[in-house]
Amino acid sequence: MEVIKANAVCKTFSRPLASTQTGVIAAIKQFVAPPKENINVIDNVSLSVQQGEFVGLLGANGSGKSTLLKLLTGILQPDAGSLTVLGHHPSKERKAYTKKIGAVFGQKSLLWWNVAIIESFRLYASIYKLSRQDSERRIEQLSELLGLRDLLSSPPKKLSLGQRMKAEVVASLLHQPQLIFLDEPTIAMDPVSRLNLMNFLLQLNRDEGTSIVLTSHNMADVHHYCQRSVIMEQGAVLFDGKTSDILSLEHGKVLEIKTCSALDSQLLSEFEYELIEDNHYRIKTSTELAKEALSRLAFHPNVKDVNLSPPSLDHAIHHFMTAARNTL
Amino acid sequence: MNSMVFIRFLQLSLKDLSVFRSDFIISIIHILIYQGIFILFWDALLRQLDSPLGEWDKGSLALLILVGLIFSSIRMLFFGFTTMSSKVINGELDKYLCRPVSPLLALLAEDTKIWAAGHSLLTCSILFFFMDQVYDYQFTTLSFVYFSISILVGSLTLVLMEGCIALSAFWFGNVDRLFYLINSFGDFQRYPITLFPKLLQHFLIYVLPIGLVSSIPVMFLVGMYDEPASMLIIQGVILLFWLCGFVWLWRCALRRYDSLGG
Repeated sequence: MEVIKANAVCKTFSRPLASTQTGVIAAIKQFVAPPKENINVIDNVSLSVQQGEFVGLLGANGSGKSTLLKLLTGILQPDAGSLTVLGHHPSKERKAYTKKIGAVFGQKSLLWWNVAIIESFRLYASIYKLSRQDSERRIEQLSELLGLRDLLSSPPKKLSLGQRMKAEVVASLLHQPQLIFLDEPTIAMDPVSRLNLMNFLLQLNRDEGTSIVLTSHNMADVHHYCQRSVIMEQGAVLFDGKTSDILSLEHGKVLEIKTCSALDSQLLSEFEYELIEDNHYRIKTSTELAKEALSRLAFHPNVKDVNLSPPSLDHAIHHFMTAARNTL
Repeated sequence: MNSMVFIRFLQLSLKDLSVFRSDFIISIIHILIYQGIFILFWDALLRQLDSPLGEWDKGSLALLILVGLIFSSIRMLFFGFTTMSSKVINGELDKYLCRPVSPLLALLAEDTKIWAAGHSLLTCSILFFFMDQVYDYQFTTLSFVYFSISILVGSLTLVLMEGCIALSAFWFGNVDRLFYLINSFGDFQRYPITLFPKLLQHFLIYVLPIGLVSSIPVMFLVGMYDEPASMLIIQGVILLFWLCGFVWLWRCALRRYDSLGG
């Protein structure tokens, strides 16, 4: 069953332009009619997500990930194209639609700043028309899972960013939504909490068939949890497929070498390399040349540690996007 | 929005206020002092008044001052309109746009100053009965009915006009100065509008309907109007105009809303 169906969706924002002219007349012109330009924040995006998919939305800052999520949640309305989510038009059938979704925006708080977080949870439970019993049970279950139980009477202003994020997640998942949108949900979370949250999402995805769309700059999260990735650049979809396919786009190996002192640059000249820190080199090589690079560098007397691995998702995406930008 | 949600909003609103207890107590003292001085001033002024001001005798002038408090209290229920522009600028509609709740009602409920509204209404009621001993108001049941309808319709009209100004924030961003500008006409609420030139009277009824929340209802109450029904119909038409404008603007505003960057 298709839960998200976006067809040629576009969204344009106008952005003020800095005046290139100086002087009083230019300043008056700038004040009366400030020059603006229209930018396509979402440019002809088509997307289809099936029920039970766990999709990672990736891309550089300003690539349109959050705007796409806001269109999908009904916060923004598309300028062109058609959008159907769970059988609804998100912004036109808001009330019926939003009962079925959960949305967490890492940079926008749902909580009342000065009041105990449990009060905010109770407000959202009443918005979703949960019975008192159900809401208390759900608050307890989620708080326990995310380690918030002792913090329920604390206001968000007294919490760390990571703890606040957990509270945002609890507030958004109280009503057991069919589809969850998360915009950078693990921002500022400690590794244990991050894993707890991601495992919890995975459990929802596997056991209850909840569809999940998340944006994240944490490639480890995407790599381990999202079966499918969508890479965006300048408002357009550059890649849409299995996360493992991104890795296969990046052929070759990464050889990391730690040395006692700087290596002779002549020795490295044949390879594509970068100096990560003093005496720590990362060499990118093709699979075919990896053996030769290893034999030539690993046994050098100056080398104290060697690690040969496939490229990470970060590298694969970086490589993929650099290539895509060059062809744009 | 169901009543349970509204009650939750009010509870949160009160809890939010009571976090800073001293500030909360001082704000109540501030209202008491402000309203006390206001009443003392007008009472002193009215006592010095030997002859009526046009058609307005002491009793109707006292009523005019009291009736102003009714609108003030209704306005406090819609205080969210005055804070809307900062919320639009800061993308605070997001949290309600993706929830099964009316974003407009949620924003208004978030900032409803029910305690201030109750306080103004209580002051008004107490003074109404107290001042009745001094000025001896004369009105009939029918004129009171006309008055009640008129003040309700007038207040809703002015609130909707303020709502339209608030919604303009979706296009212009910060509209606080526009609110200040409109509020600077607020003093006309305390003055009998029939004392002003006809052009200004029409302005204060049809364009900036401040006259509809004080002078016109009091004129109904004290029987200054020969044909109150026709004026009530006009008030209804003005209300309908602002209501249609508000609904249309709200629909456009949601299309215009561009949230914040991610």
